[in-house]
Amino acid sequence: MHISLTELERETYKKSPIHGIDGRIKIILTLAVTVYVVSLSRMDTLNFSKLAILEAYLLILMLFSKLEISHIAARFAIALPFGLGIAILQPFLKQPFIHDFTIIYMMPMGIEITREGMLYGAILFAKFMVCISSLILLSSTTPMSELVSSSRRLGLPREMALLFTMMVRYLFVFWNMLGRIRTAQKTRCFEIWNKKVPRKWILEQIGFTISSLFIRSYEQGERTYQSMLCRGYNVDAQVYVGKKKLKVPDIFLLAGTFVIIAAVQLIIF
Amino acid sequence: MHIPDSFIPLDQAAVYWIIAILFIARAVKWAKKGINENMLPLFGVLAAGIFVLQTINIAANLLIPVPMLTGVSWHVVGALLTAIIFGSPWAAVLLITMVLAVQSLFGDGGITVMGANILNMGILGGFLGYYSFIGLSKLKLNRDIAMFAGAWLSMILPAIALAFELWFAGTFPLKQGVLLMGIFQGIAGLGEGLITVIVFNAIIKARPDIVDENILKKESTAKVAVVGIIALMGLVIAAPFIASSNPDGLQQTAHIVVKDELNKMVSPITPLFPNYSIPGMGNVGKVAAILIGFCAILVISFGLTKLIKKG
Repeated sequence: MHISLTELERETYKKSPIHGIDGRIKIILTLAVTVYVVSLSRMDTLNFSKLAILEAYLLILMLFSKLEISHIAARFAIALPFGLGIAILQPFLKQPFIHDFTIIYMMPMGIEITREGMLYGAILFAKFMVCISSLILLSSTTPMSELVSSSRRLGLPREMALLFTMMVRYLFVFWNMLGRIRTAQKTRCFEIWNKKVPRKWILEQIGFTISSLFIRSYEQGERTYQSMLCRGYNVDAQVYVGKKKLKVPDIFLLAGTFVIIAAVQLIIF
Repeated sequence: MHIPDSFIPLDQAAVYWIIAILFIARAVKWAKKGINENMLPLFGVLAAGIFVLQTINIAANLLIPVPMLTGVSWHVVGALLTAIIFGSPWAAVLLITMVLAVQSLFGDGGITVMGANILNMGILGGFLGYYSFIGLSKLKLNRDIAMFAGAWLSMILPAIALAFELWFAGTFPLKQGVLLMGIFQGIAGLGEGLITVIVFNAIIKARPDIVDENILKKESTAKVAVVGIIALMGLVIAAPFIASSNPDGLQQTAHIVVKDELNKMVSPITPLFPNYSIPGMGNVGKVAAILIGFCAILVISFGLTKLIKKG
């Protein structure tokens, strides 16, 4: 499954109650959920209930945000491989923080499947899924430019804010540029899997694509910098971020999130 | 190679974040001064380009056509490339940090663990790759070969660091982690090396003016040596944890062929550190013994070099 940068950004410009929430609130929500989930103990079976409630909460928010199911599925599919790969191996491993293992199945070559390993793998995967869900919610309902300005309002240093502002502004320019390069290569019948041409030649073509993109990015950077200088940019310049007041739904969502996290922690023990 | 959230506990993740923030702050300071001028806007735009070029996934079996690699792909990281072009590893730290921050929005790497990801790919990849390239170039090695080796190291060394981080976290056993990450990142490193050489040569033909050509003169041998020693010390500390406890080929053969005689033999010299360890101190003793040995070799080497120079 694949999702492009433009597809992601298109989702962020939809109109929904969650899209309308202030970016700062969504960043805090994501951080709060992620930090809480990561802080949960590694071997407690009660975690499943806690994580299920949080996941349900995030899925309800996704539902309110009117995101396409195919979009959400694609986002999960992209994020899954590394996390799933590590979690799925856990039943076969001997975790250093566990002292007594219960073997539930013996496989050939002395490979053992342990109950504790399965539990740890399952909790690890569940935690990973909740963290990914919160990130998907944030990045699918908040345009990148708003993420940068909201981060600035939350205290991101001005130099970093400038860097990210420039990056976000040109991300889509280079994305389209790469698309054009790929289209041009396709029209010349370039196929990365073509077995009739030497591998070295294919690698060279990929290298040339990357160098072309690198030089174009560099030159765009130079042009942008020159034009900024013409408009009076100097080392003390700051990215303008207007003041933005929080609205009632913003405070409601933030308070609701903290109440749910606190309730999950206090009720399930 | 992007660690997701929940794979590293919060306390350890916080340590990686602190290290990363210190390096990012220094990198921003470097970029503000730049080579000639403030380079922040240029870096902002270039980071966008690097992010996009990292989306070009390349099949691993394009490099080594074996069935095991079917379905495995890698993308160029570009840490060494940016460090060489700007003549500083701080460029790699800054650009990779920004790319990782945006990638995390795609679920490629987590938020709490971003410090660890920056440490691996930006700091270790950038610094070790760059100074390996400089060191090998100073040894008069062909530029392309030095660049290839630097790029390969910029992939494999962070992979080993990642295996250690996951081991500290209790998420993955060390030896298997080093083996698996070593194999896949070792192969990806071959691609990184080839692409870095191709891209660098293409850039130097098209825009020779953007490449800082004075880096070999600018970087002192002492600086390269210090980074090399720090990197080697890291490997020295890591060695006892990943070394096999089984005897080597010669010991095993001797054990099989002359077992009884071997048991009767008494060495006339009592070794200071038997089996590279300080008895009774476990892995700490092994690390200490290897570090003492490493420092002794360094002192002897420097002493001999000075003597030869005087002579």
